[in-house]
Amino acid sequence: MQKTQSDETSDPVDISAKGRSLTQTGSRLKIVLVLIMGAGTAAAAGYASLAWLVPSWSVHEGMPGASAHDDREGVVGQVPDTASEASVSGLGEDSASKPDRPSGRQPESGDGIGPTRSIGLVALFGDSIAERPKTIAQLTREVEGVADCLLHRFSTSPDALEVVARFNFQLGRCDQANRIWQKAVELNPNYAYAYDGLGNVAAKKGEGKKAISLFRKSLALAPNRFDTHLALARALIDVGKTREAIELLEQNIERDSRPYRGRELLGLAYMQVMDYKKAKENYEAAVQALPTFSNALFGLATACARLGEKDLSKEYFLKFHELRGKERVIASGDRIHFDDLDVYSAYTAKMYTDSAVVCQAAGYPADAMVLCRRAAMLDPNNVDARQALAWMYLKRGKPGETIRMLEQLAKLRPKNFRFPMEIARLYTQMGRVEDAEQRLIELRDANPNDAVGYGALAGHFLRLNMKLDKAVELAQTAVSLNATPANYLLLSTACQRTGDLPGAVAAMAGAVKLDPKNIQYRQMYELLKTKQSEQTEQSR
Amino acid sequence: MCPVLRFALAVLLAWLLGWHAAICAELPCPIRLTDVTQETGISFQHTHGGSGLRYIVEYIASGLALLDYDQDGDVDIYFLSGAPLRGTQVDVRPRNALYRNDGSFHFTDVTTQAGVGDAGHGLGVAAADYDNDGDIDLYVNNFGPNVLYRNNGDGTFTDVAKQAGVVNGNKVGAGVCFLDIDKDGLLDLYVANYVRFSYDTHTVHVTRGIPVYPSPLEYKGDPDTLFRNLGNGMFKDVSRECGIAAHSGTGMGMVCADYDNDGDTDVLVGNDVMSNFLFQNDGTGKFEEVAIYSGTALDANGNPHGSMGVGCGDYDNDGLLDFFITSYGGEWATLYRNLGDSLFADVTRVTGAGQGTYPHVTWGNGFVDFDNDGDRDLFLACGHLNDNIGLRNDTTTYRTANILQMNTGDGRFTSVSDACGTGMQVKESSRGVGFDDLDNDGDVDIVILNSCARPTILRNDSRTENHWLQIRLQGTKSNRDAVGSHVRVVAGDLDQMD
Repeated sequence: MQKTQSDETSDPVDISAKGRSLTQTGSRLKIVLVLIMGAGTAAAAGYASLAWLVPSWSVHEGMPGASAHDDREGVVGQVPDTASEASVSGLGEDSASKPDRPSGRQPESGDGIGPTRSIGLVALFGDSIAERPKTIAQLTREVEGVADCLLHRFSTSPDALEVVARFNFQLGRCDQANRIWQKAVELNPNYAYAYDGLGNVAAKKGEGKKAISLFRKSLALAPNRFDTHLALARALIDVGKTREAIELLEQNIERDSRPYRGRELLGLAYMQVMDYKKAKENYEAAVQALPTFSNALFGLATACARLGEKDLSKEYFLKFHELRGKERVIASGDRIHFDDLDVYSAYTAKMYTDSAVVCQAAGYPADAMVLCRRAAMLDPNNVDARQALAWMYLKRGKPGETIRMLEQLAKLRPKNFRFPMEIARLYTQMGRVEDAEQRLIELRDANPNDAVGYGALAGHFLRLNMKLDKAVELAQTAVSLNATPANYLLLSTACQRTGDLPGAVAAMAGAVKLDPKNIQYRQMYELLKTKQSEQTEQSR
Repeated sequence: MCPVLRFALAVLLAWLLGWHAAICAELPCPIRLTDVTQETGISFQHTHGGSGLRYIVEYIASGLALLDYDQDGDVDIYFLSGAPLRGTQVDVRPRNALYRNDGSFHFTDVTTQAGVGDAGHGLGVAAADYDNDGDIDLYVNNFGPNVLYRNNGDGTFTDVAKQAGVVNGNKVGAGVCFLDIDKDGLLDLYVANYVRFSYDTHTVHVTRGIPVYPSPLEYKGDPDTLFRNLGNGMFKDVSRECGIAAHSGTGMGMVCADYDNDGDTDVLVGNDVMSNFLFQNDGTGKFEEVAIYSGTALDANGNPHGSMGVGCGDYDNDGLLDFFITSYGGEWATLYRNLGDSLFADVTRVTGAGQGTYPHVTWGNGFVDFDNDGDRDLFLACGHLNDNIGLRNDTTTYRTANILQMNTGDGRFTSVSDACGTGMQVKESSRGVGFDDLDNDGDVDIVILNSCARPTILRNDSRTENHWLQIRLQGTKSNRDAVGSHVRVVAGDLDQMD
């Protein structure tokens, strides 16, 4: 089983809890969609990259903080196959066989099916869930109602407190955020992410030493989080403890999933201690990792200037100016089009989505649903809420609604081909074969130079055993655009279906050549060759 | 607040009074600053001219100048005020105010007698003897026509801006400095301009329903103006030929100083939310903008700051002038150490110079040796520009205490704001600051202009046995105020320059 992290999310979390037993994602309680597919099946069916989306929500009430965080960290990118498989197969069954009707499961199960109990949010939104707030004051009343509800009903849940505290922090209410995070720590002294929050408050107040102490507490509980290492390093630099920051970053730089951040900060730290050579090396690494990182380019140019490399310095400064000019144009556009209500709505939508995670985990799927629906309404660009809704609708046997969400996601993320492919898959499961085909044709036509659309359409035909000649043609195009083993396999399958055994053998040979260690490929290749020999023998 | 800095320069350099060399610094000497505002007799009340419409020109008001206008040997105070902006009704039109120092920290309002009660929207001010007649003149940089008050030598002034050709249109002013760009003995005039503002393009901004001031980025920047003194009472706008006009910025505080020790005067302009400008003088009055290469354009991360006030001084006594630039909330007020070879390093963090500044908006500042121990401490005026900031950010406040960083003598600063007397407990929204010895007792006192409030006068009561030296320069071949001079004092191991 192959797992692929959604390209919409950067910090994936665990899926093992399947929405309940969870671990908390700390400063970013996130809905993470893990994409899972059965490689062979998918390839044969033409869904090159996606089987299904599974939101992974976690909260760790009552769990030992340190181990919980470590577990969560360990889960990143390493989702246990069994759990994932179980999730996917379950969901797939529901959506495939029982479209748009309740599953019949018990509502209290907390698995997102059959909403009956509520913490009050369903009533709070009522019929106005689809109405856009007209004023900031109206929205403020609403979000404060949600926050009060969460704090009241989940007063002993550090995760709920975390969501509300972070929202207050983002709104500049640091004292309130501080109080809530303190309470989270009192509830669970091992709740590392509350220390992050408290550290961020201290840093924002310019209280560097206090921030350092809090970030260290967080790291003692969750030592693998590079974001906290970064925050600690920044705080150390801010108070002049640059050598300590360098040591910290050097020891942990390999943990950085986005290495440009740590390298840039290391560059800055080395600049502070006037080690310009090392500063330059690190800035270079940051720029290499992210060529549009203007701050790193500035550091690189400055380091070169300090090293007396004037020409190089000027060259980098020119690039820096060019990048900054572009950034300024974007910033200016954002400023011109600034809409206070829109911006606040987006903040609120994020808070609602995070709150939905808490509700879902606590066994209140109805509240999770209304929160995500409200979030999606408030912020037309919110991806997480729509992903969660797509999953929840599917769990409730509403593939039509799922498709509606996926269509919105496809518009928001046009480069993510998984959404249209999943839409096609759902259409097929619903028996709407022509709609599925049409959706894949749209995908292909929108990306004429990308193999994915051709491959998906070919797979669709193969799966339904229709238009097989067309499937061969599409698979050939896919191979010509992107000669991957998977596309060769697709072509081989198509050829085989049309009775072109030599073509199937030749295509499979291509797959084996590209991936010679793949035993499956080799076995298939040998099988096809045997068949071809038998056929030849028979024809004689 | 370039008014602050500009002013500090005008006083300390141009006016030649503010040189205090500490000769002995054997024991640590806590700085004591006492709030003596109530006993000064100063009743000036600043206004920013707004009435809730939040024009951008409100929050940048105003600066002040310290000068001995009547040449009686003590330092007098000139406060700027905002003017009623569109939509603001007033019974009595506010105006600038001149307070004569009567000695013993008592001052008398002589605005009317002196004729310096300009009612324009005052932002920055510089004081120097531009006509070399032996008395100090005043230039006021307004939103609107600027004013040049020529000192008549009898305690009165005459506005000669139009005749002199320095009205500078109808721009939004900011910092201003007198300097001699070409060493011809005549003081020229550098006028910083902020943004191209007009009432017609103003819109009220809200964030989360809370009204806020607009950002300078919502306006076009304006190139600064450089006036050459022709020597006949007239000035000529030479911005274009001198290389200044080619650069549009959002000029705020500024300072003129020979940072590269090549004998001519350069100019550093702090731009609000843009790269700062460092204009390097080629010795003939032509300038090249070199900030990005020198390291003074941005902070260490490569980010522009909301630069407000600019200070200049040799904080580490290495013979090179360093810069300090205050900034917006969420940014560290930044210390740029002069490394020589026209290069600067942001040493804010390693020196601790930015302590306490991060949450706040900081304005006027100065490198001043308050305890006469031979090294320069740092004073920063603080106060957010939005009077309702607490509604959306509770880490700072509109009215807040100012900041004092004591130089520990080893290249670092330590915050002593909470431990140096009543003077640092005053909470206002401060803007411009002036530093000088108001009572001629050998230590430097502080005058602070507070937005929409009365000013604060801080008497330096530091109990130190350290000695001091005060030098008054008078130019003979150079400009009479000797603006641009270098002074070096060596006492034992201590080598100080200004």
